[in-house]
Amino acid sequence: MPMYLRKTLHSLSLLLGVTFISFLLMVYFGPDRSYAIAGKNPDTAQLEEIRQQLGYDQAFLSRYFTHIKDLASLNLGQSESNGKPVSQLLAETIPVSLLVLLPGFLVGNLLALLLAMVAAWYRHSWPDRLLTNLSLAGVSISFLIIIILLSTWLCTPQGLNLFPSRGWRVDSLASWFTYATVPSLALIIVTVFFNLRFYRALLLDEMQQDYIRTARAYGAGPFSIMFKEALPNTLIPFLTRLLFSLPAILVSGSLLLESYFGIPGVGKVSFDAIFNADQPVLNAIVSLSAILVIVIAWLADFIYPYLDPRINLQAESP
Amino acid sequence: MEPIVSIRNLSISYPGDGARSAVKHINLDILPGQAVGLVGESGCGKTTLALALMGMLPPGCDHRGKIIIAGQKVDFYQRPGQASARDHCAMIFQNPQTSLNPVISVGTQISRIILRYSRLKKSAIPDRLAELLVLVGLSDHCRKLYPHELSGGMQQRVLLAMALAREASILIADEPTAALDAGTRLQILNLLKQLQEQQKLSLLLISHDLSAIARVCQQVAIVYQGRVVEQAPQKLIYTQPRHPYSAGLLAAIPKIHPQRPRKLQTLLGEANHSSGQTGCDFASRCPRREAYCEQQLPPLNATLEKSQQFACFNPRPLSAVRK
Amino acid sequence: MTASLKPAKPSSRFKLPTLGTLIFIGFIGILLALAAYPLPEWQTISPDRFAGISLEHPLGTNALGQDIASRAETASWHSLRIGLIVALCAGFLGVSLGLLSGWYAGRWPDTIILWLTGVMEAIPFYLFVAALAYALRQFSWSMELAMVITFWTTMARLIRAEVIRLKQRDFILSARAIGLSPSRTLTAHILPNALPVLLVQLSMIFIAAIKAEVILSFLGLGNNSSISWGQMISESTHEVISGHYMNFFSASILLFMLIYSISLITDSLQTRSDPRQGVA
Ligand SMILES: Nc1ncnc2c1ncn2[C@@H]1O[C@H](COP(=O)(O)OP(=O)(O)O)[C@@H](O)[C@H]1O
Ligand code: SF4
Ligand SMILES: [Mg+2]
Repeated sequence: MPMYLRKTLHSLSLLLGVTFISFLLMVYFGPDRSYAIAGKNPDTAQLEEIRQQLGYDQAFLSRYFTHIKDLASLNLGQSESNGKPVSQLLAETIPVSLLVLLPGFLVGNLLALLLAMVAAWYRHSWPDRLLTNLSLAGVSISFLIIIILLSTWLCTPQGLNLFPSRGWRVDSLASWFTYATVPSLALIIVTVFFNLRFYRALLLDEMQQDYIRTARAYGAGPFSIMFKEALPNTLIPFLTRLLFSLPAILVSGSLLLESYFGIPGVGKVSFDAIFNADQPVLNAIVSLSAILVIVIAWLADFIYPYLDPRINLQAESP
Repeated sequence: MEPIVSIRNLSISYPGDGARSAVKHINLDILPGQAVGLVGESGCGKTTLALALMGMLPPGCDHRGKIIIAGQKVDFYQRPGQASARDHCAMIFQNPQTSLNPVISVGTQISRIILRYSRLKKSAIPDRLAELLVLVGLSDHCRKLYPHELSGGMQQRVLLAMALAREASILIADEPTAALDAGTRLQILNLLKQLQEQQKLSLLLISHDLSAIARVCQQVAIVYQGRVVEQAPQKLIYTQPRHPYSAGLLAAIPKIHPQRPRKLQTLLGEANHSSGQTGCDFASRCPRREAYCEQQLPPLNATLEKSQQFACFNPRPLSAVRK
Repeated sequence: MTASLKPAKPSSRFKLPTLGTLIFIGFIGILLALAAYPLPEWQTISPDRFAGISLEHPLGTNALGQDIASRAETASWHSLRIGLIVALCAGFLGVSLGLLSGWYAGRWPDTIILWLTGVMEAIPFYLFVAALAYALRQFSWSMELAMVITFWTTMARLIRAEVIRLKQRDFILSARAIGLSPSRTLTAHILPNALPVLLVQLSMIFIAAIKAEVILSFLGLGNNSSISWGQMISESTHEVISGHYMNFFSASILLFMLIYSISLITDSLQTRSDPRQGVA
């Protein structure tokens, strides 16, 4: 079987797995929604009808297939707390989350990579020690503490009071700066601390390879060695980390950041959904983000051959 | 003729190795256009010497003595990318597979060096690349290939093209054929010899294999435990090795004279690296050892014929020489 | 490399205690001191609101007049308990599944375990833990359970890789050749050699659990039967604006001391088993 086929099959099996788990937890063993829908004092016939509509009387497997079909057609139901269609809710909030999180996420990763280059270049001398020790101390500070310290410093009268401490009314670049600067700064700090040591280890590994010795023997300078020789060899693990932390940041990072700063993104929506046990919303977010992870991983497999010519997806796999 | 490389009394020890040095009091000259061979077992300090020539010793090494290349003193810890005496030297390495960047096409890897060292305009680089590929015997479509798509011999040719692209007058080849199979080994050695003569390069060819050196070099230095124990023109080493170690190395070559098959004779034992011993380093393995060998270090002496130097108190007599 | 039956011995040379151990000893010292000190119960409400530092309240009181030192102490034990329970349970699960899947590498038990790992890793864990912990909130171990279910995967992957690596070593091959059973080989020969990796990952889980608990209880998704650092920090966000910092500082400093000391100790452990990864 060629590699790409095997990888695709593997991704499909993972898709079955995550949809099955979300089905079990959120639908099959999830809360019985018929009472909520039926309103006060329903009679048995009414309940029976609603249960039929919800498909509760169907067999296990056929309910699971309905669940998959709904996910595939983005037919995600309605939020129980505000009655909006879940797909509409997501369409409104995902762009907000991207605006809050993506810039900080990207800048943080690039900054971590640059600092990792400095550390790897000066390995075992003071710039390296300083950076690696700082980042170890940095990852030991909870994201929460960083957010509180930053917002107390930048958003309250005790500090500089430069930015609003909560809210989101963004319609222009200037307003983006007003509302997104502090959350982005917090995210940048955390991203740098979180990634610096990993990227340093990647680069350090490459710096010990023979081809770097060749480059040095042929007069390559620090810039050339880092960017033209070592970096192309670390692109795959770098990109993998970047891609795989993206869904986690989007969902989990926004949970804290958005509920703290009162930003109406996916995180805020999931936060509210958890509190209100809003099953359709939670189900949609958990299922879709898990699917997103798998799809990203699957797509990444098709990018890798462009980054490393040694990878051959046509090759027969064992 | 003035030597283009002269190594004077060079000693190098790695950090933490204490009194044990990887290279001990080495003196070596390379004349312009000359091919010099450096022979010795693995671990005897050949690579260390080559890295010192390139100014690429790992940090923290202790070194004494000096190296002068084209009248310029070599800085042992060259910062990468800085112009220096090293610019006269190009180096190719033992393992061509790992010495090339795996994710960059070989054409790009060679072109980068052309761009760095020749005064050519950017537009002229592809032509120069084509020229170099022809010189090292690679067909033009190779420029688009990646290292893993080439055989070991082709990879070594790419490294040779990179060395030529550097436009250096001195080429250091550290065991360039050790990782290759027998047939390819011969082709690469012939190519090396051809390029050296054609381009008038000064060559330092490093190997643990005397027969490889014999094909290419005019002058040979035999190294044992970081010390040059015998140094002579290639012919003399082959016909009348005086140091017992040289004779042992020579005897270890299966068929140097195919018409007269000899019994394979190998060197007994292994190098012992105990520091603080006073006598001859080779004493523990030497068939000609005498009691006095362990009292004192034999100096590298010139004999009557000045061209042959060896460090031995009890050298093989000239009468024992094979005809 | 020569195979040895025992894991590498740490050097017996006497060393000064590292920064990590010092901070950890400091953390435990503070806890013991607070435990020995006669403090009010953490729930006790008193009219003495936002009291300053005094003999009665060594760290002052909060908006309800509750003793911050007592709350900080209780929260610390609470965090340590969660970290340990989650690390041990998730570690046990991960090690067992990792051993199984490494031993049967390429065969069906391995395929299933790898698939399960892939599935669990695709689910966004904060959200999953939050949803599960909240859904099962009547059940007092819900948060621990949710974390155990999600935190075992990396351990399983690492142990699997170790088993596959060690399985080919001479001493394992000979142990199998003399007829040692798979379970004996795994526990007596492979596991001790995988110990460095195992310990490092255990402390990673410990750290992750404590950090996650703080964030969840900050968000109000935690377990309400005890006070936690997250709740203290959550209370403090309203207080810092009016200039009351004790709640915030006592919780966040204790949290930092615990996480940082364990990270430093783990890092030196990691540097010893793989010198390239560590801090220098
Ligand atoms: N980076 C290093 N650090 C410490 N010792 C080294 C290092 N490289 C080589 N050595 C030691 O120096 C001696 C000479 O090594 P080397 O020059 O590589 O020998 P050769 O190239 O002749 O095989 C050997 O004993 C080797 O163990
Ligand atoms: S000096 Fe003595 S021991 Fe050394 S090589 Fe000569 S004969 Fe052998
Ligand atoms: Mg060598």
